[in-house]
Amino acid sequence: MTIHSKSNDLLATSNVLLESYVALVSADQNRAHGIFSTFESQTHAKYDQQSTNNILPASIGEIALSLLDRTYKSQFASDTVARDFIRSLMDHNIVPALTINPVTNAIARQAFVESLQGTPNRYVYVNGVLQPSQSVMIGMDFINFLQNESNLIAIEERIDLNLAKMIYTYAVSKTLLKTADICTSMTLEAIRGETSAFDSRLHELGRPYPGQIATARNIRRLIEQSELTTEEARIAFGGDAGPRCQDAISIRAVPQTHGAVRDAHAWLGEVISGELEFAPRKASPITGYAVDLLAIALIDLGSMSERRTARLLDSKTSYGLPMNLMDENPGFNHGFPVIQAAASAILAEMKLKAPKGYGQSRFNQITGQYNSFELESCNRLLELLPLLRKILAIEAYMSAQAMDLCKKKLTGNAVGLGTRSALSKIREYISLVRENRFASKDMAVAEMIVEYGLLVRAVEDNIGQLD
Amino acid sequence: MTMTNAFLSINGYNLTNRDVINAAFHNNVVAVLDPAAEVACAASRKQVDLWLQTDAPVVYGVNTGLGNLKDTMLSPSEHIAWNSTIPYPHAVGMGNFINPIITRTALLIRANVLSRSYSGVRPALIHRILEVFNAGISPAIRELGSTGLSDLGPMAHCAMVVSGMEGARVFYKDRLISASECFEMAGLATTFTLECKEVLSMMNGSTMTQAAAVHCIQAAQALLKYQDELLALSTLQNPELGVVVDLNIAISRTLLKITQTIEFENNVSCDNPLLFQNGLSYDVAMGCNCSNTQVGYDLDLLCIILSDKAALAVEFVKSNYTCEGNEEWLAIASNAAWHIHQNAQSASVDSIPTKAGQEDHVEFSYGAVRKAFSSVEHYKTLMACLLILLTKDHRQEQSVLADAALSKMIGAEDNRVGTEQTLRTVSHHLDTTLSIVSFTI
Repeated sequence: MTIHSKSNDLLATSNVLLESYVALVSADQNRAHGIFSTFESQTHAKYDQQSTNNILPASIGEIALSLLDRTYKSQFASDTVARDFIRSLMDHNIVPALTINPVTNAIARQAFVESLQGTPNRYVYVNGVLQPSQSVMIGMDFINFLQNESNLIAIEERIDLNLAKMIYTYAVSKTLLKTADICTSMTLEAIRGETSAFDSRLHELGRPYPGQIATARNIRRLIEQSELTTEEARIAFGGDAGPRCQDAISIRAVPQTHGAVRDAHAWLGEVISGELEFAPRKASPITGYAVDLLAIALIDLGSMSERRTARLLDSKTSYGLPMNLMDENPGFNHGFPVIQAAASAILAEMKLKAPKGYGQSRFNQITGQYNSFELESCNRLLELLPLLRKILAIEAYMSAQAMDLCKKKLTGNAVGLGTRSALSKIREYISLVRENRFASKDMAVAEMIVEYGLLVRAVEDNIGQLD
Repeated sequence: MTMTNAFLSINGYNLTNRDVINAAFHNNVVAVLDPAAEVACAASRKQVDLWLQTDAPVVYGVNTGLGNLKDTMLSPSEHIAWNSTIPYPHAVGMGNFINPIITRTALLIRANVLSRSYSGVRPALIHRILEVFNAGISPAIRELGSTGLSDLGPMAHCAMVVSGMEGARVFYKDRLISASECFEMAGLATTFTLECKEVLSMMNGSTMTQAAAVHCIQAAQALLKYQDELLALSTLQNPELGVVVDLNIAISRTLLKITQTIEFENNVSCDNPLLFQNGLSYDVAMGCNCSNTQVGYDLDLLCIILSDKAALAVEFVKSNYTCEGNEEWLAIASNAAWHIHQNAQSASVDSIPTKAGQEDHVEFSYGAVRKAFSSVEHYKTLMACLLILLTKDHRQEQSVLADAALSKMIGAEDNRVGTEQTLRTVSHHLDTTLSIVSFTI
């Protein structure tokens, strides 16, 4: 039997499969939110949650199990015992909980198996709820399968945790890309921005990169029917000295920059689809290159968002919004400067994690072998995503404040079709800041709104799927 | 791209990297504006002329100042005077001169960008740029001072040359002379009046980065192929072959992706603002197509794959040539590899607000291409070391490694030549045979 033989069936379905995994991650976010919404005090529950920083979301383990199941179906169909074992886990909705600790591939695989064996200090998700593995797995008949040394070794050899992590990061990045477009649209409306920069012709005729075209389309749809992004609104608000002409780079270059991030993201999708054509796949360093390129691009996405929040703070660059986004008793009430500085600080952390010095394969002086760094690249991206999420959460928080302050003055002007849903969703959880209040809790809730995809879902429920 | 005899017809849509390299290295290639593109450019230009008469909307760079002076209005009567001085405060180059091959390449690519007709410049401007290019003239531009979020600085120097402005200098027939003196020698008009929007359209794009990127990716491709060929010729130990094959395949696929991005960028309207036909008239759209984010990202990725491939070369050298007599070459190879690894960091993740916050986000693609060139330069040194070690090695088949004169100089027969001179000669050999240029001269 050829382990790495390509099946036509797999080839035809790899793109579909990737999209199904993206849907799985989204469903997992939904489920996580469902658990959250049962809390008595919704708004600050997230803040009070105990940290489980090192434990990765259930969907990564779920994808890893699905990939393992696929490998057995494709290449080891006669091993019905192993297939029954995997099926039993799936039927019981048990998913190993993985950690982000920087370990070797061998240790990561071992940890995966240990979480199924009921080893102390390992965890599993049951129906999406994190539980100590010991309390769940001990006593389950089907884990006897792992008592057999050869079974255990086979599972360890065939599990593909890196590919599962890559698929997860691809899915989460997709949500964050949409979130970034939503945040941009809110900021754009709050500063009564100029919309010519999103004219389809600039992108479809002028510089037709696929990501750029998609980003501009998203923004146009989000602000459709907006009466804030008009010359009339600018005049009525009184923040401009004359015709706006064009906005600063962090606003008007969004199609080009977010678009380039989308193109990097699309390349990772292509590479993953290529890997999914094999089950198991023949690991290639190209996955690491695609993950590293996306890491660079996502840091740039964070940089754009941080710059937009900086503009919102300053009356001059926000075209007349209250300084520090605080209109009531300013001076006594401090507003958002330190919240914005938090975005700058988090961005600096992202920059420190940028790929540098080492690529995807290196001769190891200690082992005398070439080492792949796919694991390290995947883990780096897993560390970057929560940082980016926080920066975008700060922009969502600040742009909602800015929009409401803008609307105070322009009461009769309609808000965009998509942005009105986004603003309403934020206001379900976070009220307008009118006085000095505990920022950290608001920021944690804003992060939750981004993390669980609530902002994207609220918009898409209203205007349909974003690109 | 249509190449008939030595003519290169440009229309803004299908200029390949190969076309660019071929035209840059061969002065006998004559670039001409495609007739259909000329008609389209003339049509969009009429709109700019109309805006100069009456009822013009606010159009950045047509009736406004630039950058954070965008809210300052300019009258139609000021345009010729304004365009004759506005390159000066933008021409900010410092340091050494950029390689004339690159600056001349920028002229060709900029002409191609403008020939797409969305920039609204006169066909006469495109003809003038091509005239300068075809005469083998290279703007003399210093290396530092551009972010890459449009190469305003370097491209303002290009505008000065095209217009024949006082102070503009060029490289012509290996001499650094004033543009006007050069034009007289070459039989071209000594001045060319840049009209409304034309200075902005000359300089508001990342075209110097793009010109450099085309040469950089060509050099990287040639060097990586050269490494593969040298190692394939060698009968020596090449460790962990399976892993090396996988890595080489991944690097080749990634290099192809980067090359495609750079080629795509040759044919986009890297300019702002742009004009689009709307019935019998034209609309203006102001955005930020003057940036080239994808190119910056991909050049950062290029540095990463060069770092990996360099590591393979170093392992080969270490495995086979760690012995007495080779110490100097091993040290040079190791030093080159160190620089290549150091360069495997991302210029694109940096961002410093410029121009009083009007450009509040900058990705430094120009820095990315300069860094990639640095990697290529050190890679050439690494390959030179590899070639020298293989040529000195009597276990190898000598004739296939280098030409006879080079082999004699490298070999023990000629002990009068020192290490530095040998390295310089072999590097020059690689420059010539692989068409490698450096970023600066």
